[in-house]
Amino acid sequence: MIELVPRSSTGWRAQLAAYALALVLGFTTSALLIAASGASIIEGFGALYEGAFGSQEAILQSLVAATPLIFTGLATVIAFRAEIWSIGQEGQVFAGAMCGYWATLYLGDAPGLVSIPVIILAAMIGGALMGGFCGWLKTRFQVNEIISTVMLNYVIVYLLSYLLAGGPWTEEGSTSYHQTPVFTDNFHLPLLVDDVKLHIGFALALVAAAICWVILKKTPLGFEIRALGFNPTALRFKGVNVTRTVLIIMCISGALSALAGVSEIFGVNHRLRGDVMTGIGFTGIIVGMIGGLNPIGAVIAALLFGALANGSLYMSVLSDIPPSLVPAMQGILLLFFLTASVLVRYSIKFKGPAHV
Amino acid sequence: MSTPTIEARGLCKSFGPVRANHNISFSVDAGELFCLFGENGAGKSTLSACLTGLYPPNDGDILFKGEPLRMASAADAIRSGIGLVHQHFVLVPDFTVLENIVIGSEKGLIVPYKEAEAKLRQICETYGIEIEPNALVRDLSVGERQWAELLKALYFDADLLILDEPTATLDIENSKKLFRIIDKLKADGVALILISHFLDEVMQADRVAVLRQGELVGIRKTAETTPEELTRMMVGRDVEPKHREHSDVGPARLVLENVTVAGVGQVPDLNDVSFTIHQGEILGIAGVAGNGQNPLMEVIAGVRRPAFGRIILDGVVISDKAARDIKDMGLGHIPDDRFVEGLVPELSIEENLILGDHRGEYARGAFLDFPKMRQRAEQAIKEFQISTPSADIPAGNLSGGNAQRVILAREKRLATKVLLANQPTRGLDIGVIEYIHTRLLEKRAEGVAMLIASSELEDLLSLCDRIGVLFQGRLMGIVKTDQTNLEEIGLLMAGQPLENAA
Amino acid sequence: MNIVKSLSMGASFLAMAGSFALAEEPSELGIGLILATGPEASWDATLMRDLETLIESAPHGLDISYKNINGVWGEQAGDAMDLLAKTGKYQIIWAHSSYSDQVKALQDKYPDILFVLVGSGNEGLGGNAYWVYKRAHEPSYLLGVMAGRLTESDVVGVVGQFPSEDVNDQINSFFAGARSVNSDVARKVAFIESWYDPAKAEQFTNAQIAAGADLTFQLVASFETCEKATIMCFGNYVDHGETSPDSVVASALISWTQDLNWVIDEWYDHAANGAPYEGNVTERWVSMANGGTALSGYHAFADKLSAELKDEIAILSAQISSGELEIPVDLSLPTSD
Repeated sequence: MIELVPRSSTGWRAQLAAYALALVLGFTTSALLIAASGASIIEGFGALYEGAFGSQEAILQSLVAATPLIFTGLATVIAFRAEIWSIGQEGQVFAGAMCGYWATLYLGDAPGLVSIPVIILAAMIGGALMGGFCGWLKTRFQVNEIISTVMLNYVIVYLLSYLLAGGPWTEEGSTSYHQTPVFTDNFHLPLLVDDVKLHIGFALALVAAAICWVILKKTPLGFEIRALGFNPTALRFKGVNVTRTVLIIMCISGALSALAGVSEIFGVNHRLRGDVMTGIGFTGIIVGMIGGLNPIGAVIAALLFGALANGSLYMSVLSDIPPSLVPAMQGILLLFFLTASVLVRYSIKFKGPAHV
Repeated sequence: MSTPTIEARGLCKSFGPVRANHNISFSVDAGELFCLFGENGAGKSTLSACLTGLYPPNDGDILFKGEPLRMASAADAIRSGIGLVHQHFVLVPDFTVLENIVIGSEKGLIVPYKEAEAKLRQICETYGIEIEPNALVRDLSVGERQWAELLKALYFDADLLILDEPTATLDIENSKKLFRIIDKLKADGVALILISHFLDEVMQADRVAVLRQGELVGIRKTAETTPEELTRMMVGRDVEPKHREHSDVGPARLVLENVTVAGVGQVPDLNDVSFTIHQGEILGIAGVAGNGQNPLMEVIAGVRRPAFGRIILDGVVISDKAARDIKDMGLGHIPDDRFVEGLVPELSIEENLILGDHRGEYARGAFLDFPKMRQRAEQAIKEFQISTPSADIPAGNLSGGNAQRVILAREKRLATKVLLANQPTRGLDIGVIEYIHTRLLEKRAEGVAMLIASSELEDLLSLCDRIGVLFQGRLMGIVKTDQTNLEEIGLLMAGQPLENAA
Repeated sequence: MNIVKSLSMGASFLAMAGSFALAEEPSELGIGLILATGPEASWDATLMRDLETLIESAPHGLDISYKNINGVWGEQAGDAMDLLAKTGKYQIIWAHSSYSDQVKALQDKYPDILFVLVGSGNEGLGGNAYWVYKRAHEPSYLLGVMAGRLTESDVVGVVGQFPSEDVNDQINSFFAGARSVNSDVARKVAFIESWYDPAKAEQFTNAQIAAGADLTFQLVASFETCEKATIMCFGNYVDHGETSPDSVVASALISWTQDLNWVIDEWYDHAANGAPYEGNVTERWVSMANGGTALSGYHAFADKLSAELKDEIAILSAQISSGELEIPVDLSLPTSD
């Protein structure tokens, strides 16, 4: 029998070493794969590096790619720390973008100073309601949150499909691409750096990470989140309103995911469509896990993911590596990272059978 | 003189700087019941692990039937005739009893199930153990699992059987049965080592070795010693007889009127329970665990809701209030299961001490008040003698006794009017028990009404003003401590109603 | 080394070289493809097939090479196009029209590059952005006629990708064909909301079979499902009868050759002769008569179909090609009965 035993604590050096080793092994395996395909390893990795960190422009592009993942990563951290297994980030990203768009329909030509906060607020409310709904199902009817959130993901994705495929939000004269008209300038998230599309969503994501860290470490709510994750029974015995705590956690998690939708739609694409948001929520779960369910860790993991995404893009454009190999490489690196993140937190014990 | 079955000579075992066993020598003869007696942490379990080959000793020799002991694993031990019945179960829940016993212990690839089953049934019959070899361990009760553990040792015809706190999970009836089996084994020439801290059991042994802080204090024949002497040897000092200050019983503080708590099926967990506890009074609840003690405590604390009836605290009905509101009225609750209901093991001692008050007293604005938390933790560690290197240690790393001190520190402070204590001394050493009794009696002197449920009658007799007995969710009767005796309470616990209720 | 910097230097050098070379005839052409799915989907597969053939034929004596980029979405696709343009190696960037926003943002930055948007929807941008459209409604009509004749349950299904205009037109003309010969045909329409998702395609096909359909038009290419249920079905874009002879009666085929030739001619005219780009802002598609689409052969079903039906289809096919029979383009959202 193999058993995973939680480690009491792992020093940062050991953690660093584990992730560095994962990186090395991941790249070695990828290199073998590239060599097998006949492409040049140096050219491939050179392009990957260029895209990830090679120039100011590339770095800024990586940050743009990381931004929504920071939000969904944080959403994962908040929920999973309380051992609430919400898989609803994907749908909440959509819900956020949709509620933000809904708000624009009433904002007309209101200046950005007014419209942007309204959009953000509307999105957060939308995401929070969606998360909160699953929290309510969990606390009121004992509906498992994994099931309810996954189901709701489908509902919201198809709702957007309906709205955009000839439904009321469809751009006139273009039913085919499932998109709204392009937003007017007052609905664009302001840019932090001109020409590279790095928008205030990135700054907002860092602020959100800081707030999450403070909540978890310094507030009574964070205390409850941690305690709830470890032992809800003791909380109940101490008279803590566990129902309320679960609802609050789900609302916060939903609101964070919603911000990912805002940042992707209002910061980058400037019109609402579904395909550009696909996967942000699910990737956020991985980001949160690799980040060790820690807000700072999630930011670092998201930045790595963003760099990897942009690096992969450069790799597929600039090198001769077959296009199908690039996502495979991403998968390989991810697997090594996930393995490292498990090994950092658990040690593996090989146990004999029952008689010990 | 015949060769002793097992003999330890100058045995030493250290874990880093911790000296778990130091220079221990003794021997056990065939057909003898030998007891290892000592507080938790005195080195009993380490010693038994050395005897079964789980830990190699740092120094000294172990002779088994005159030969030096050489064992690579527990499976080796069991095959060469040393059986160990664990305190904690090490059975695979999804295997049958039979599978648990034979798999991994039998040599060779093919397990002779048929023969094994026949042999097992034979053993069950010989020793009067009622257990179905083909039942899944998952479906067994806690008591039955203990029998399965024992069977495992018996199956391999052990010459030496080590029993580590075997009665911890058994009720009185089954404990008696265990000792009948032990007698039979003795008659068959098996050497037995019993690890225990129950004096009742200890006195049934032939000889007793008392351990304290890893060292052997002495070995006594039970026929030539007294429980008092053994206790003194174990604690290292005289245990003062508990002296209960008589406090004047004040007006009614906690009143239960016909309280019924619904159960899973038709049978209620708590059935029409009524009583009153006055200021400065301690009401004890006796009874075998599982007869409604937990529902009673939980319904008063507001963790569960009564299906029927009222609970009144100082004239205010609390049976419809939330647990935190009841707590804020001055109720403390020491729950049954320390590490599940009482503490969050992964959180630090400091954090556990403020559990439940993290939004009240220990919050400053939107944040936790860390200086105040620290101050509270340091004060509690000092006042309640919690032995820990720091307040940042996870509560789960504490021993049972220290964990209970953390809970006691937290709840004692909350309990300005009522203190509920469910099995407050279970599994603890005499030293800790004594300490907890003292602290509880302090609360009584402050006029707090107290409800203590314990399966240790000694506990109740020394603490309580009155004792009630729960049997299958019903309150069988309440007697005054100074007007009752063990027989009367025993009858109540067996479900016999009382004629002269107090 | 900083690849990007050297690339942009390379690009400006190439631009300079380009201005010198105006009078000279270009001999090389690089095409960058940014498509929505990948070569596993029929749409992309046909394009690659026709592109490979075209490279063999070397129009204008050009040495043509191409690079296919998959798995990028939204702004990432924009970044990829930008990067392709910066390398200076690609003179034509052929993008799925999902990315028209990104092309719009780049077309002025790279005035010498010819951008192609392919597929329905979005907008014709004009200038150096050309719009390639596919309408396969004519062969779809013929498939519909066959379905109307062959169905026994009178329930006919279509499993489509998205309800987009260049999918809707096929579905609508398919049912128009079916009803032209069998007015009792009941329609079942489902969209899997993806350009490529075999698992979903199977689910939706099974649902249609369960709803009574004994013939389905598989815009999503899930033929094993038809085989398992022993029903007949029709393929789309590529000749699926070759690979799934047991279930596919015939397929509606598309060809990109003329579109590719058109785009390459336009680029060559610009590069060699300095002719300004004049991208179309309205839809441009190649009809069945001109070889833009076709009806496949019957393969294994050639012997199973009645002579009357084969004759009928041949006549209708000839009528469409001669312009005698005009199949209207109906973009309305198809619905089930």
